[in-house]
Amino acid sequence: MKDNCEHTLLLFEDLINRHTDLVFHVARSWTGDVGQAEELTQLTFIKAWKAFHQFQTNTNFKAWVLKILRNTFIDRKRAQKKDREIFSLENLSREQEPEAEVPPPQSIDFENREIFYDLFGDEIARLLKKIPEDFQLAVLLCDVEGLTYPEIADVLHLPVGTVRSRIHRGRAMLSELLQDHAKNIGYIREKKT
Amino acid sequence: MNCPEVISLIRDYVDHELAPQEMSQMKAHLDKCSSCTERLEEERYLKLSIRKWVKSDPAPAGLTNVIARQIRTQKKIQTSWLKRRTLIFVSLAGAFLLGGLSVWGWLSFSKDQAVSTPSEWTRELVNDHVRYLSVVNPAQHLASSAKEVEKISLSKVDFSLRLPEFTSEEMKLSGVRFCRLLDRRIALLFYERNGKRLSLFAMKDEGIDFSGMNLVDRLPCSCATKACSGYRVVAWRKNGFLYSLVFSEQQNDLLDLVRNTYQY
Ligand SMILES: [Zn+2]
Repeated sequence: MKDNCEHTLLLFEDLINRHTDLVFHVARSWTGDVGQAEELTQLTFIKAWKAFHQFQTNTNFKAWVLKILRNTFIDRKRAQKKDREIFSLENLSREQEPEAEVPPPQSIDFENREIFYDLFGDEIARLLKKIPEDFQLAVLLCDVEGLTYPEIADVLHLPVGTVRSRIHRGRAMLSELLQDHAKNIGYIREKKT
Repeated sequence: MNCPEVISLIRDYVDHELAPQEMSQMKAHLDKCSSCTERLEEERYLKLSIRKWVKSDPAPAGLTNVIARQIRTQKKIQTSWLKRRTLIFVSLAGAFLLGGLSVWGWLSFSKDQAVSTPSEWTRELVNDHVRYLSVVNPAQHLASSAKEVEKISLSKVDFSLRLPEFTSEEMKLSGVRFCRLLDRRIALLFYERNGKRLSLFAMKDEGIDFSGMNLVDRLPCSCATKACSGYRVVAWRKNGFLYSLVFSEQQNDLLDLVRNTYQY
């Protein structure tokens, strides 16, 4: 280890600060358990630190660290296989999800779209929780974390087409919920079809 | 491109996932079609609002610090392990020259020394704790004080056991088992506290490090904790022993019990 190790460590600590929530969120979505997610998050960053010299600065750290999380999760599942747990991530990648075309975005006749989103945007986080977790995760990785479809496919171990379909369907479901909400509070005149 | 084609690709367009040629074809259409532009605006608003309002769920407080500290500790361990490995290597190389020790010998030697990861042994501890929960009195030997257990241990294990004296009146020792866990001789003490069973595992402090666990501050001994399947393990090193207390997550105040036992 070199003397500039301390500098690298500080840089890495900054990356930990900025990405712990994301890694933890994904880990919990996979494990469904806070304790396991905590453990996976720790292991992931320790592995990431050990492999940090291989990280290429022009690539996306989020995608890189989430791939380490995915591998750590898979290793863990393999090790636990004797406990006959379902190997969910592997199963997911094997079964081909239908990549059915998602209905195209609808035109909604808001009184005023800008004001609607300003007033009720905070409902989005709550409503997103209502859609299936796989779709939430795909939408989060794409829209919030800014990962590309191929990067997400890599992290989730899924075909790009499945990822695309999950993002599109996820947003369509969210939009539907948002419209229902807007209708309930009388903010949409009527839906054009 | 016609309207249906454009609309079917609007989400990909918003996500910048189209090839440059498709992007410019889309743009050309959108520039002159207000109905498709309307749909695009809808999707764009939705995407931007998601970005603005949705965040990853926050990780448990302190997790970031725990990770940073682990990495710093690991750095130290790695450095000292490297030194130790060099020493082992040098001495074995000597032995090899002298006695013709084979490389295979070295390999199996380093395999024997393999340590179990904290998640492995905390899981083992929790499994054992849970296994005995269903047994009315799992103790092989009844004992009501740490001193008694230490006396019994003299004929049971190949080390002279030293146990913590918990300061709390609520901790009632009921007995001890001597068993093996992860290939180690251990003493497993059963306590009762407010009607709930606790297990204290005591073993020689060898080959287990606290990486992957949450370190506990402000104690005169090295102490770490970890949650596992609804139970919590608090482990600490003292007098050459490694003690691990296992209890239900609902009894989280027990960490204070360990603190109080050692704080001066
Ligand atoms: Zn059009």
